[in-house]
Amino acid sequence: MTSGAAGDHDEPDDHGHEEQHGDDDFDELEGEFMRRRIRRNRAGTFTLNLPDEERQLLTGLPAQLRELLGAGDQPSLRRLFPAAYHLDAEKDAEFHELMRSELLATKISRAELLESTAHARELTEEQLLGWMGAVNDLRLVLGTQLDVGEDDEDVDADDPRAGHFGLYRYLGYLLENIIRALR
Amino acid sequence: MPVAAPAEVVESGTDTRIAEDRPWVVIVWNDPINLMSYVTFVIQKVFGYPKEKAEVLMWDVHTKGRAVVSNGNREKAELDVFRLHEYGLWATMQKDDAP
Repeated sequence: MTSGAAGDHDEPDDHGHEEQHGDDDFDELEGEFMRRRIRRNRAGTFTLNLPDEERQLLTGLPAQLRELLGAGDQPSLRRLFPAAYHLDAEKDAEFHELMRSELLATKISRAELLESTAHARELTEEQLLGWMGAVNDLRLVLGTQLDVGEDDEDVDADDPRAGHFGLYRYLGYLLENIIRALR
Repeated sequence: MPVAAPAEVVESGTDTRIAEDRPWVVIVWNDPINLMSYVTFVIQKVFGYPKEKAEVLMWDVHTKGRAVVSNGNREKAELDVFRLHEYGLWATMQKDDAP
């Protein structure tokens, strides 16, 4: 597991310290900034304060995920359909035969929800839970493609994978933000 | 007229029955992708556990590599595993006495 980009700060106002501009501080500041983008309203709905370029991204990524999901057994999907009976291949095959299509349907409908509501100003709690699942699915696929390890989220800027790592980190911030809003 | 036989009193044998009804455990495994906050939140959400209990389980997963998050009969365990898979957690099930 990973501790997430936004750190372990639960207090809303823990930014009184001097900025030092180390990498960790940058992460914290970025996390702090991200945290304010999704807020629970008094009415129990959630206001999304996301910039347009992020909304563009969140419209485009689910389409790619749906395409992958439609392509059947892909190596990068293995974390989305893990073994249930890891000690019993026969029972596991039965389990997947029964459950896989339902699991697939959940993942597709969440991707569709994210795609169709990426430009919304407000979401219900149920919709935000759908976003949470979809964003996590995207992280699982991207993390599998990048073969990330526990403390493996940084690569040099000139690494060919740098763009995808940036995207992976962004999805982590967004997910952290969603969880904080839902709590 | 025959006298009604007294109702049979059957020992419920609760202890053995529970042991037979609950032979499966659901395990969440550590993985390098899922966020710690996410794992905690999902465990709370799926099982309705208080945050403190979910956090203890999450730390067990993180530090020991795995944690038993629920148990029950086979059907219940399958449903629990399915719901954890819906959220992308790395969950499996096995007999309680499996090595």
